[in-house]
Amino acid sequence: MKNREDMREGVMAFFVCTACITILEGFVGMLLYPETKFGFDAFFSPPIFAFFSVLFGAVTRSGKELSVKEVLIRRAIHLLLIEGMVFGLNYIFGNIYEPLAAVILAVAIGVVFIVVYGVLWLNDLRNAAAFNGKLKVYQSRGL
Amino acid sequence: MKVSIRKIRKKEEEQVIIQCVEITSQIRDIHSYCLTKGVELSGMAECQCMQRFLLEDVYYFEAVDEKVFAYTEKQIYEMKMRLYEAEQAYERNHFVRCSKSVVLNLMQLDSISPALNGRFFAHMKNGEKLMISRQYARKIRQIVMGGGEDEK
Repeated sequence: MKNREDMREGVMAFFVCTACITILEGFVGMLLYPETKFGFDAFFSPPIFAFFSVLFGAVTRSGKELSVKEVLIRRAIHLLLIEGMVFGLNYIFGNIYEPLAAVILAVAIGVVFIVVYGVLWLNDLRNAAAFNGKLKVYQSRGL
Repeated sequence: MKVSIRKIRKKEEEQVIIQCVEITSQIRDIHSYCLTKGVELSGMAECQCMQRFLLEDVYYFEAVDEKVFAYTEKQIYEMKMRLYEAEQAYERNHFVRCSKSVVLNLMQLDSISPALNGRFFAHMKNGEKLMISRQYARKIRQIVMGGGEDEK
């Protein structure tokens, strides 16, 4: 049960990440390299980045209950790992950015990071609303 | 359904007997209702005196420094039990673990809302806010939304 829930959350995070990264690549690409053309293989980069981003999310998991501070620290580590992964993979494939482009890309990754967590939070909000509806039914049965 | 009340002398011998042909959801509801009513606990109040109070009035049990406290609307009682004992003993009375240190009463839960750290807040009917860890949120959701293993 626990693994299935974790898997479902992971898959959802993956698809949200993929969508956000695709949009990010579109905007950053148009802004920094409007003349660049890609082949079909470029379609694989968003899911690859999303896969590793979700994989690195393991650093935010813990068997013990984390304090808010600990959660924030782990999320910062998660973001750093993603930034490192994106720049690392780009470096490996020969894409070396100018300082301004690197800053824009780093900020954009941060924005995507926040948007993904925002979407997941909205999903939690939806689940909470469904739970609250059922809670009233549960309580009326127990009263 | 026929209902009869028979008066007895001793409070300890008070009981509800349900006679039915088969256990339907209505019978289960009556059973659940009876279980939650009239269970009395005793605990050390803030005045350092032992007091009796109803289990249904407890919002939650909390473990603090090896001690367990029961929180009602107006009083806090120190209990002579471990938190896991409260969790096991009152599971059928709608009490459920929501974090390592808290067992809350689902009947006194007003709503939940997501927290920013991946967990949920439990908003109790007395206005208090407790934290539900993700680990225990699954079980709470199962009890309230899914029936399943906890609906005996």
